[in-house]
Amino acid sequence: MGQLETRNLTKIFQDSGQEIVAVDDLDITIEDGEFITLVGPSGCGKSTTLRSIAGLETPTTGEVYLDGQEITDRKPKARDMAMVFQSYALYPHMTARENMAFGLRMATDLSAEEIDRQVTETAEMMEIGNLLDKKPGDLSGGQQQRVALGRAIVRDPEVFLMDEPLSNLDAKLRTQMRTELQALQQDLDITTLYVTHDQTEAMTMSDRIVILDDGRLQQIGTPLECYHQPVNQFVAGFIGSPSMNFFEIELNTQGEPTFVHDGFEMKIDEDVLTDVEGHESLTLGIRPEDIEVVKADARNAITKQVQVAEPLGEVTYVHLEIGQQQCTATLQGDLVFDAGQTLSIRFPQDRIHVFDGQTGNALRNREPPARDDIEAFAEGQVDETARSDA
Amino acid sequence: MSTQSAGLSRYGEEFKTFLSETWLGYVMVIPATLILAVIIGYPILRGIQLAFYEASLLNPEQMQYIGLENFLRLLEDTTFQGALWRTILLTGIVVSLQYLLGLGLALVLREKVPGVEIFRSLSMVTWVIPVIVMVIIFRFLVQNGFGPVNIILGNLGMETSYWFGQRGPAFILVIIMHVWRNVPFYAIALLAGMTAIPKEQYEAARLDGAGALQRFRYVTLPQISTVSMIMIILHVTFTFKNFDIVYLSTGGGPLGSTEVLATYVYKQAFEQYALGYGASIGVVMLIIMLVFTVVYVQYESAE
Amino acid sequence: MPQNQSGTGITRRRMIGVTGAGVATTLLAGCGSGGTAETDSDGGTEESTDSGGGSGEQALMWEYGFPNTQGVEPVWRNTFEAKYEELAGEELTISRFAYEDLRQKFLTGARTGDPDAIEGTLSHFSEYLAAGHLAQLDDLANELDYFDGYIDNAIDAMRYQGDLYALPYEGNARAFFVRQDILDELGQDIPETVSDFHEVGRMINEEYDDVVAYHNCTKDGSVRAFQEFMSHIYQHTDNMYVPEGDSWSLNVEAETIGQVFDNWYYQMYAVDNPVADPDDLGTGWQTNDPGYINGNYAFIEGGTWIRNWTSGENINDSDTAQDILDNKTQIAHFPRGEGASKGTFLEIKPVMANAHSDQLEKAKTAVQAYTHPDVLSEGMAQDPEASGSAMTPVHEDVESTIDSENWEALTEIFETGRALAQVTWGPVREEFYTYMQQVAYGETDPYDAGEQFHSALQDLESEI
Repeated sequence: MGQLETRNLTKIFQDSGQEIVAVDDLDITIEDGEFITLVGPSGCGKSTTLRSIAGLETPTTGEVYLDGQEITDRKPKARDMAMVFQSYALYPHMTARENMAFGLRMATDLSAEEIDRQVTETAEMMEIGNLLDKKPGDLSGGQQQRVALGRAIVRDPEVFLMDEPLSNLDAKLRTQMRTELQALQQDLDITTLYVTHDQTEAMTMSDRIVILDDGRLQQIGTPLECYHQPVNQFVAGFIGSPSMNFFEIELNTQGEPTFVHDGFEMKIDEDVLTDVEGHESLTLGIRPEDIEVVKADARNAITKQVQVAEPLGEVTYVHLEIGQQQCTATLQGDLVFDAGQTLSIRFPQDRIHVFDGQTGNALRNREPPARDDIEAFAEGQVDETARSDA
Repeated sequence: MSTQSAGLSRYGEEFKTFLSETWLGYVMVIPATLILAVIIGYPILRGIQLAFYEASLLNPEQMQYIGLENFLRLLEDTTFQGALWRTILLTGIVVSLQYLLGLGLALVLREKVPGVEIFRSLSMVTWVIPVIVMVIIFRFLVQNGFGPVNIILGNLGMETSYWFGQRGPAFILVIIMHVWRNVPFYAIALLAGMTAIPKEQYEAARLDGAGALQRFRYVTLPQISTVSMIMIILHVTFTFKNFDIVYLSTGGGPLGSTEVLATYVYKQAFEQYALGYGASIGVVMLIIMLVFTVVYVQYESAE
Repeated sequence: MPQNQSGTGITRRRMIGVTGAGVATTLLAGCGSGGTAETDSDGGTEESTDSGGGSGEQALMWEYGFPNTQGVEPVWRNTFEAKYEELAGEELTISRFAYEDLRQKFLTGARTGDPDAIEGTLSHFSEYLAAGHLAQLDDLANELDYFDGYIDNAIDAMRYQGDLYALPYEGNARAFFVRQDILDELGQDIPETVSDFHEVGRMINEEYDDVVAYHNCTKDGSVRAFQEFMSHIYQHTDNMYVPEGDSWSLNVEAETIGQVFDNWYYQMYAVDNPVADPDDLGTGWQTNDPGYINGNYAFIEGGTWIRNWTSGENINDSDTAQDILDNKTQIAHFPRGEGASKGTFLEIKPVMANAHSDQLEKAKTAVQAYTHPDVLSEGMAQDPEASGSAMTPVHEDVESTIDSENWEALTEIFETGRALAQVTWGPVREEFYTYMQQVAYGETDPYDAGEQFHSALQDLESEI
């Protein structure tokens, strides 16, 4: 069992007389065996949240519960949690074996033989059995990472806490470890709270992600929920790469309902109008990958000159200026434009997001992909032209 | 072919550059090495040589080779043996106390206790002031009658005296001066060693279930072992050969109760004019220190 | 990051090298090289200044005679420099070292030719002479029309086997410093015999809570302690050692040494009703002189340097000190034990030329200038920081600076003074400290210690 919960968790630091609210009234519930990622920009409070759960920080107010029991004031060692640090925090004077055995030596009364057996077993699983007698200084970054993970795993804790464990690895190794870590967590089925600022890690590894900004919870949900149905502009902008394009627009209801922006006008359908009516200022959001290339005379076509094109092979990023605002479109890889070329694009109505200009709350999100469609794709029943109508 | 020969000539160029730069390096190092060899090497060799001669300070030219006679004399010299024992005892006690107190002080300084900053800057004062000034301060403290220590002892109804003049207390005072002088230096050095340990290791240890004492034992201590070793070797050497603290405070008395090897060497060489005999004691000291250093470093590396 | 740790192996190895070398040099090269900047003879200041590297053609002089008070015009030193310039036609370099350092450096380094001239004490003189570092100065003396004006026992102390190796500039004899006011209060006369002294001393200890009757130096290695002991030996004999052929012969009885030990150490510290304070054991001049000037002791053995010592870190109150020295102090001959007569330790300060100097003429000129009657009367006697030095001048052209009736006895005491023989005194001093402390701490019977010391002194006859 490892059900973890925070209630009204708040942490305020005093810094030369000033109060800094690192975590603000946070409520999260993590189910047993779940892989939860805390994401957000630097200083959003994700590490403080993790450390409060670990017991390394004392919350100013609020509680932490493990399996329904309050553990807010328990010492770290009494929480049955293991933590993996960004810097690995291996003990440099101990061999990998001693590092892994340390927690068992300190916290259990297992015999030396038993500890050694468990360490060896875990090391085999982590494929570091041959490195056990080396000291951290003689190991590569990836190997140290494995030892640090092994040290956490061998403890067989209720909860894993991981604080940006992959960010010191190079890009290739990071991708590989990401997969391994995810597989490992699924095998072990141990509740895992994972902190990262890297949204790719968040998207790919987690069951659910928790998005924090400025100490406050923004959204908690599956990666795709957060991607497709962000609750506010912050989440919409934070999740997805390249980021969602935003345009401040006005709604013109005289005549055909239209979104009006300095750089374009966009006639909207009834259902969009229903969602946004009554709000004074609005922000239109469209993900770069949802932008379509159309003929110049198509409905709602926006025709602009390409400022910069970044061909990546599989896709091409095209940067346009629309009413003195940057807009990025992700196009098919074979659509390689040159700077200065004229291009017509369109924001498909079923893909746009609209946010309240003041609060940033989502008024309308794109339609989530229907489960049926995916299954239809899987079975090969789909007409190639199925989506060209919009 | 042309590219190949160009390549070869390039290697040639590099080789030449390497050679000339290496030679330049040697040329730059040689004078310093020679000077060091003369400054360090000559006195050592001269000292070792003297130990096998009978030589007078007043007539060092007329030295006479006497083989191991000086060393054989040491075997029967009870003053030397007493001084040797006292030196070892002093060094052992002093360095142990210095290390323990320095470690304690470093642990206190590591915490963010108010006023620590000021203390940190003030604490080196004891180490910086000249030995003679320290001795004068201590002499003042234990002055017969109106030294602060005696005033306190008197008020407590305890015995007062000029403690440098009393057999047991004089030795204890010598120990206290050594400790007083160097504890802050230990503290600062050990503190530097401790500050270099990332705080994540302590957090990891807390999660691993280690209590404060265990964190100290398993995380702090092993990682300050190198700086500890440096401090201990430095101060064992310093204490073992220290002359001025003892000489200025008690002169080796009363009744030889604070006589150490360094003061005995001094007396042999500069009062008895027995340069050769003094040098033989110096050689014994050198051997003891070298053995200690080598054994300690071996032990430490084996750890 | 953890990678850094792999470097420790190298650090360790390098360290062995460094510390090893450090050990070796400090042990052997130094041989107790620690700057012992505290002189132990007669209450000089505790400091040493710039190292004196020879500056080419100019003569280099090492000395510790001139006063060195911060912020006061160095009258004496200026007069000396002017005289040297007048005689040599150029300037010279003066370096100041405490006597202990001066001696150590000169004994080990005189052969380099530096310094050209050196000032010191009589015991230094014997050691430098034995080491062959001193140039003979008879030719210089022959040129000096004022040479005959030096007093005889001062010049005698500068000779060895008939040849002159130094010129004197200062002389002082150890005398008994007596608190006349205390004696007056008790209705006692100045004690002339040791038993009277013991009696009046014990009376003082009984009558006064804040005054101890007597203090002398008992610290191991204290030069002053040895000089005090010699004062009492000189009450019995003109010379502790006398020349006998190429060697020396001990010229004092074991019984005499035992008596001196008994009278001046055993009775002072080790008996049930001691004259001095056993809690003062192990102290040196740092306790002795300021202790008297501050009014803690009724009798000490001192010299002219105490005359104007009324300020400084060891003096509690200048007015009290001034009052004690000006009005309450009477200078007297030491009390005499059985079979003793008037006699005391006489310090004659020599100025010498380094025999290894490559500019011996300039060295001799420096000696000449330092000891010149003009410099002594216009410099030394006029310098407010050193006026005590001219209370008992070594040259007839210099007028005594004694300005107080109470201190006039110094002149007569000076005449009873005996200068140290040209013996290398180091080993004698070392033996002395051992036996003196054994007596003072009550470890050994004074007469037994006298026997043992006597036989040790006999063993030294051929060595010194």
